Amino acid sequence: MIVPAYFDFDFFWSVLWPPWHSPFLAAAVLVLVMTVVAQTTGVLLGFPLALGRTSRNRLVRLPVDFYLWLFRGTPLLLQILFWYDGLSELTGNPKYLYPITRNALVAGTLALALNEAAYMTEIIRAGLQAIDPGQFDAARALGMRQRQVMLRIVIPQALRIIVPPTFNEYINMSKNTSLLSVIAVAELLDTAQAYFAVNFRYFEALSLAAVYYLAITSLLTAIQRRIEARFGERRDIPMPAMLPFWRRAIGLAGPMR
Amino acid sequence: MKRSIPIVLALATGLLAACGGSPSPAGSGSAAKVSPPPNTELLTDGTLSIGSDIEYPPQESYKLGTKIPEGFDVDLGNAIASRMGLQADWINTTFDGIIPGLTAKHYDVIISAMTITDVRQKTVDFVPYFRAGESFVVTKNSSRHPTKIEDLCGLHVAVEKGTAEQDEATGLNASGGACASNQVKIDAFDVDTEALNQLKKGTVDVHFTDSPVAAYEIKKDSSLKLSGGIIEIAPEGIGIRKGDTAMLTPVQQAFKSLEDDGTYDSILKKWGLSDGDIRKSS
Repeated sequence: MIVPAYFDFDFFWSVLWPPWHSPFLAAAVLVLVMTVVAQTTGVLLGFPLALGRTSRNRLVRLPVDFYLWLFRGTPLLLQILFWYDGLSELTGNPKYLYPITRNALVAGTLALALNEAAYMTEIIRAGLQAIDPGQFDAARALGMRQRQVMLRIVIPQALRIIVPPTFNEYINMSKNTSLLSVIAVAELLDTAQAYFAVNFRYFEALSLAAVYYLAITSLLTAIQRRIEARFGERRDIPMPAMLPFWRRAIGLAGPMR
Repeated sequence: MKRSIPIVLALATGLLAACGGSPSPAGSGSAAKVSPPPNTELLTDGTLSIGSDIEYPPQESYKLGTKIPEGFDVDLGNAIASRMGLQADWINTTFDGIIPGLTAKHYDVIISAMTITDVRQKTVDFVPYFRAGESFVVTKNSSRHPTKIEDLCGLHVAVEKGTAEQDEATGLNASGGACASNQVKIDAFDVDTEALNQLKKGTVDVHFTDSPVAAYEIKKDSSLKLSGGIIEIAPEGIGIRKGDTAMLTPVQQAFKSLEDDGTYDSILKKWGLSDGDIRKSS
């Protein structure tokens, strides 16, 4: 091998700075938008699905179970190709499906959101089920209706458990958008590939994408800290499950005051 | 991979040749002149590992429903390996990662319909073996009729990642390029067949690909046609690590012997690619 090894700093720096005209900045904005849209959709779908999953009615529970089995049981990459390519093949690609089958951005974001909804369902279900059943009973005993019990008692407490993993999901989502490079969505990885396809500077182009990914995940992490400080678990009040068994056994389960 | 008898035989041949210095001219009757195995470290003893993006018919693709590669490049690569006293092993890889794969020694050589370009020649040495151009594939009822590369301005074009076609389309969009003010919308995909699929779905106006691939596509699917003729005719080469003459020379010799005894012609003919004969001048 007589190819000299070097880091092409001129190329790296000319694309990195100034960022205003860099395709990477446009790609990073796209990644952020896709992350927020797909993940928020996933969260919003996750709530009704979680309620369905914990329902006592089989007719409600079974379709939700099927949804989770399907979307958690197949790879995300497969699902992306399914919405973009598989769907058109199956349906003969009618006009009303063009917004999905001919638009990689829509098909890709849809795939990310529907997949994420399955994971959010489990996170939200775990949050709801972690609330002590005694809380339901106490609220009912105070004369609250089912709706009030959920909105005033259960969900506020469950949010403390749901928020931290949900924000992790936002961060994961920002990285999962890179999978959309296979359907030529101009996100960060696709942008890097477009560079090294032409100039063969793989390390530099991938480093540029990495810089922007780190900027995005750092931003999301900073937001996560702030939100957790408001919504998340309060460390000064021990959770019932964290108390020793003997204290719960003799009824000293509540927060000590 | 299981070590089958041919590999063991090839290994033995390789060892004999390595020990005995220059190999004696073929002793067994009609066998053609055999070039020596490369005096270089092979990825696997007795095996010529060939990196290829095996989704590019008719030059390389998997026989439907199998993991057996077939195509013009495959027949040629197998023939070259056997002239070198080696067994060919085909290693599938994406095209946009095929050159770093060679540098990182994931395989010994590249045979993957790779056009010889100046940029590639900075990291790869080539043994030219085929001539191919580029073509525009459109749907039969399309109103788009690009015939030259500048006609792509303002069109939505599907290409494969890392190809000369992507390079050229990107160049049109650069400042000073022909499409600087009316940009080509380029969608680049990991495999060329996915780029073709976008044309069939109607996502893009044009699939911009190598001429042998385009010819094969329109033969297979009557809803597609070529727009214009073949442009940018250029040689394709077998890729070898830059400066690795211990590999380059035997591959050159092996290819030469295939040219001389007519094997090259019969492989071209088998795949209907005689127009791409490297010995023809433009």
